[in-house]
Amino acid sequence: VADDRIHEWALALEKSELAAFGRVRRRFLRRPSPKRLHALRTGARRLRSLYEDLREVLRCKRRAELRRLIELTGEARDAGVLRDLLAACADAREAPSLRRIERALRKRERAGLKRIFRALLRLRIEAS
Amino acid sequence: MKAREIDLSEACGVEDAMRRIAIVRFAEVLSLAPALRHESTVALHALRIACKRLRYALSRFASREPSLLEAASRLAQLQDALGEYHDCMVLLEAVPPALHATRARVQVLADDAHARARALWRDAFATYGPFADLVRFTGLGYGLGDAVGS
Repeated sequence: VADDRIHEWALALEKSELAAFGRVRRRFLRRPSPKRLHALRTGARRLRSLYEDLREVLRCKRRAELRRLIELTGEARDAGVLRDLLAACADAREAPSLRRIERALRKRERAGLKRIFRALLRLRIEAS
Repeated sequence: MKAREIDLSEACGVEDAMRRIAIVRFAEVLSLAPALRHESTVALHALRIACKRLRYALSRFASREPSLLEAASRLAQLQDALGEYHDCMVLLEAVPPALHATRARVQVLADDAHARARALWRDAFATYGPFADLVRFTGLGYGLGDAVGS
């Protein structure tokens, strides 16, 4: 890209998104929770979206790891959200049959959180 | 759906780069918006992802183009409604057909979320509506409120 102003602007955006991602990453590692998982997922997606929008200007050196982290947060988040939704919609007469689904979702959520934890400890994203 | 590539090689200044990004991301959303007329889970999910990309881009432009924040906020509402619809459809796949009562409750929520998404989209294109400044900024979407998603 010929225009230096765009380059400077892109670097400033990257710095700000990386700082935001660093904050939610630290918070999640300190004490994981559904709210912090949501913040982590949003931070990772915002970062990926920045690299997609400014692909010609910025270079993400950890694209594959970032993609993997987004997938992992999606699995854990989906399991948690579906569990809440199931609890809200469950008909009392069908509760015994629904318990098996609820347990499976809980197991998926816990396994997902552990995988995210491990992935986050390895992930180091640096500025372009 | 993979994000479309954005050509910034001929962009002249930050304003122009912002406009080029917004045009590509808004075009993605507009091309997927007809999914609102049907109930295809896959197509509506793709629309939700496109809304998210556009929203992230617009919120990054906020300091230079605050007029786009209203569109970003409407996209967030749309995204929520489409997300709720998607979650309900995924849950319906997991709940066996024999559990009629629970399935019926989930379906009611799905229908409500879908109707909300359609209404949010239609209303976004009203004169002075939440997309008015986005339409002006990108030059895309004039008169589409009545045609798309209604």
